[in-house]
Amino acid sequence: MKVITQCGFLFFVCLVGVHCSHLLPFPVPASVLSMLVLFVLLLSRGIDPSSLKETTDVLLGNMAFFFIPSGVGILAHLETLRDDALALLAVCCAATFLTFAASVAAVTAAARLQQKICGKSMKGVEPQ
Amino acid sequence: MKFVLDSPFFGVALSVFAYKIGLLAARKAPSPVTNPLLIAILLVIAFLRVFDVPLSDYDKGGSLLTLMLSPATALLAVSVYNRRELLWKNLLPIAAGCFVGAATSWFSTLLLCRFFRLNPTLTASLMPKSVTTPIAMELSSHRGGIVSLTVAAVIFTGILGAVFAPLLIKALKITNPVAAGVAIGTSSHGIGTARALELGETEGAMSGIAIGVTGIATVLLAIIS
Repeated sequence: MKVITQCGFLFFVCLVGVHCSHLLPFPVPASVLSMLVLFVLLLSRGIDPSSLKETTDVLLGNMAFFFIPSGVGILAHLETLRDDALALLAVCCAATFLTFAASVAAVTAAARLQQKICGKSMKGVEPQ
Repeated sequence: MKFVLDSPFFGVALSVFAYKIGLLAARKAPSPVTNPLLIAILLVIAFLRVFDVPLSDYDKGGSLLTLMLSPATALLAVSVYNRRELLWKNLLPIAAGCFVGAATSWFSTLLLCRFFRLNPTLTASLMPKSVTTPIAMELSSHRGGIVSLTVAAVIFTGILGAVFAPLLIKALKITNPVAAGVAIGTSSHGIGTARALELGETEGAMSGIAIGVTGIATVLLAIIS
């Protein structure tokens, strides 16, 4: 019954997310809104994370499993993708490396700024 | 036989079986390339091709699994909440890294797609590729992309990040574990995070937080662009 209750609660949170995404004037994925709703509920102590433990362990621990059908769906598009395969791979590689480098630069700069403002070394952000 | 394939149990059972083999392979030969999801997808595709099963038959069960992606994404909130102390302490660096990373991914993908003259459908499919899969899928379908191509690009990007992260950390001379963790999470989401956890606890936690924050940053980018 525990897991059924937890799933029921999560489905309800997802429904709230779906409803909110229709209310907003711009497209926001419903799942992102559900995530924000749940985060606010957790922060406001409206819900205790341990009361979701069983379902959290199953869904987050095996999240990859639920992506299988979405990935298999590429079967329907193999013919159209063949001509552009190399370009698609090149875009993925180049963009991933650029993203990594830009993100590192931004974190390093912000950590320095934060240290300067706070005047003391912060645990976790100081270079080691 | 037709009755077996017609039942939703077929798609679910095939997925479970393929994922089991994927997990087994990952345990026997641990490497970022032996990704359980990647192996499972390839096995299912091979099965459907060999036995000439229509994709629509598989999807009767498959759509049940896809349904569970929304609650799974919502639960990312729990994993961020469990690390909230690290989040508040490093809020500025994390926010900066995720937003700059998300913007770099979004616009560099757009420019590179234009450079290679890829059509708008393919471009829309690739743009959300460094975000976690469920968010990327929704962004892709909102913008008219091919959702399954987005999933493939997301997995490929994740594996790239997992394989090359240690090399990049060395090449860019990164000594700050927060920077390394955020960069891995921002550029290669969950698959990278699994690798980040192997590099260190701070790296793993930061990478996990970065998945959620980068997702939100990318959604904001999608709204304004």
